Amino acid sequence: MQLNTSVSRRRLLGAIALGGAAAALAACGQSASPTAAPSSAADKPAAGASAGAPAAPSAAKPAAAPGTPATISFSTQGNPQELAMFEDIVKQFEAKNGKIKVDRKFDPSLTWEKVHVMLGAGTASSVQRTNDDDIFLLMAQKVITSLDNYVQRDMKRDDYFPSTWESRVGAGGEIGAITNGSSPMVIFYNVDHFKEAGLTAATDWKNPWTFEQFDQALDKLVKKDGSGKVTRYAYSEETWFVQPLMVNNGAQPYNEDETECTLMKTPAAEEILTWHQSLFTTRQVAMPYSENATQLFNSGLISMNIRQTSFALAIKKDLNYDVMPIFKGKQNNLTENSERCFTIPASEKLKDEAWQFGHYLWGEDVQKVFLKTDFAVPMLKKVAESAEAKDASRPPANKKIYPEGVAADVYTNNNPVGDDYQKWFSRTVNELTTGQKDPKAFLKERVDRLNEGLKNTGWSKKTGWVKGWTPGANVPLLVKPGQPEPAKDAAPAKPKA
Amino acid sequence: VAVASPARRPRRFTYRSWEGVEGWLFALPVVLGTLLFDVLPTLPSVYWSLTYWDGITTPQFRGLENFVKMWDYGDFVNSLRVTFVFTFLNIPFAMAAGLGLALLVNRPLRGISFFRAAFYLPAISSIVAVAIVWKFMFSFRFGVINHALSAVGISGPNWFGSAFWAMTVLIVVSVWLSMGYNMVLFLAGLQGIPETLYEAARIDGAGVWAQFRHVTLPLLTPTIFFITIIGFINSFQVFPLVWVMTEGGPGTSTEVYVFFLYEEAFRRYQWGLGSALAMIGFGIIGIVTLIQWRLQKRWVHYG
Repeated sequence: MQLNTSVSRRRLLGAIALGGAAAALAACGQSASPTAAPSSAADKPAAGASAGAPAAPSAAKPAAAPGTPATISFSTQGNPQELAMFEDIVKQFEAKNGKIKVDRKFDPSLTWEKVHVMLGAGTASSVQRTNDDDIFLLMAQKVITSLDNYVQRDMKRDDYFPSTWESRVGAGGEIGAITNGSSPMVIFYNVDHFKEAGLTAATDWKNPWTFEQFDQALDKLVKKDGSGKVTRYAYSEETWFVQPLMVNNGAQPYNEDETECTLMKTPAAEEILTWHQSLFTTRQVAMPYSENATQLFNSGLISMNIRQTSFALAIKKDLNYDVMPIFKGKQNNLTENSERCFTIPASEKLKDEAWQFGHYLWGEDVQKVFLKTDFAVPMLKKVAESAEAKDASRPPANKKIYPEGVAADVYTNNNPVGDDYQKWFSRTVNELTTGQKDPKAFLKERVDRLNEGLKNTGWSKKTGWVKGWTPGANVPLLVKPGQPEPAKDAAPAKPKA
Repeated sequence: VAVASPARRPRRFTYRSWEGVEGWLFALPVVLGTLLFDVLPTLPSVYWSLTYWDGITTPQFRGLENFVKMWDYGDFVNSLRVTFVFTFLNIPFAMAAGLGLALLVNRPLRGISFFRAAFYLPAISSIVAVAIVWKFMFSFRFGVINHALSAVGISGPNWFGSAFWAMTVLIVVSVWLSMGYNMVLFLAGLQGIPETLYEAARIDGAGVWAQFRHVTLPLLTPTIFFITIIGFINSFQVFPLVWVMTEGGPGTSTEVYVFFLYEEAFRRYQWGLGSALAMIGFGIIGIVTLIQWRLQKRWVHYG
């Protein structure tokens, strides 16, 4: 059969191609690819809205037409209980601030990698929960707003723990995030095991167990069968506990201006790593990282567990447990904490409104909610140190040590090799604990890498300029060498009526 | 002599040409989907592999710098070595297990469908869930496997405490995951072999092993070829198992190629380097597949 049509093949194929291209364009136009690089000035954060130049509160554009509430967005992840908590917080905020409506963008599966990309692509929410370890990098990349002016205008710094302002900052110390909660490391311990071994726990951060006390307790708490096989571990830890462990023994991660990793300048780090390795290998008192610490602690198969305070949420109700401070090394009993951080993207148009919500998250109402739900230790001192915070009737009984744990934080992330430091002294620490490498070789490899990274980035804490992140990498200079630093924050705007 | 060229008549649609268009229209969703979601995203990645890009600031063209930088510290070489060890052990074991199962279930027995379905089950299970359960089973002190071993007087190792045992566990779990899929392919291959060939072999005096060696195996070579190619591609890209069970450890002893790529691109935000690694991975898979394709003429029998 002959098809009676005058449409030529070329025209038909052309039409199909056109249709296909239109469909493709339509598909692409739905939303910008989150991974797409900013291709034009319009894609980039507005000048003056970058981390390098703190946002001026008064410069914000009008939120919405008069009379209509401005709508900002708020994004966080978390388990159902946490999301319910944030839902209540948002409702309370909206009830108190009729002029601002908050669009909830709760996503239980939101990953930090995705948040990073969303911030870069300009698709993050007005107030975006962000990985605390990413703040330094995001500030350098100028994709989140410096909150210095807002904080200076609206907050009293002394009301909060110093780590609120010091832990998650940019290269020049700019405040990069609404850091409103913390999870310090403490020692969770099984009260029954302690009684059985005749041990008395430390109850005050200023009077912790000594290193010797801790070391002896390990031998008292571990249980082995006739063949020497462990039937109960004395101890378990977070993988990154090795970081404060070295510092507590007197090792310094960096020199004063952070141009060199100095972990091998003194024997302190190698000495403590040798001891640390023996806990897992020869003495077999510590739980290997590959085991499930939550499960074993709940089953009474671990006596002491160095975890962050949020671990309490995973402990079963009928377990007789409590908390005590980190034991003291030769010098300190510091911890490495996780912070709850919320950022305002540099590309956010309603910065003032976003700040109002961010400010609310930092306020007393929300801090009390954090306390009540055990979401985090509040950063507002009067809440963290209130009678309710010390309420011993609700486990753990000795939670009064939490605020001191917040204050005992050690930061190693606020420089261009911070991520590498985390990787090499956290995820791959099992190279040491499984006996794959001896402490000296383990340490040397990492120190060499960090030093090469520092050298190539040209980082100096004193001058604060960055010419790159890793060998060969190159992010835009924050302050070019030999040039003066940018002007400090402009005078804060007067509070709105 | 000037010859007037005949005037070209516009080509018109015939039934045959319409059939061709019809075919393309049916294939269009797949073709467009492949172009949009597979080919198109790959093209920018080629460019990014030549840049320094942290995923946020503007990519800076650096030529081949990423391809040089990836050799620093030996992490790249380590990930390649780990991946090839995993791949070249995983493929033959998974294939042998699949073939063994296929031979077992290729019988007209009552209830055999149940066993076929049961053996295939791992292939349709969530890899993450499977990995978590296996990780529990391989727990050093309190895992069921070491308990079972101790019952017969063997002290089980700390499976995730050494490079050797961690890799062994990964391969065991990977073989368990893929053997059901391989079984189905082998089963289809076995059932496609004409019974007359076996009858002829038996008449010639061939025993069970000789029948397998000279009839079954040669006629299964197309299936073996297919599984080898797919197995290599899948093994080279193994990620969730490693992510859940070992996180590349202890140290970096099970840090496979894609895990290394993920670390660089998504944890250290070295997206340019990550793209370069993706290009290299693509090239390796392409070259190995091409070699396999060329070599098939020597050993694959298509009946």
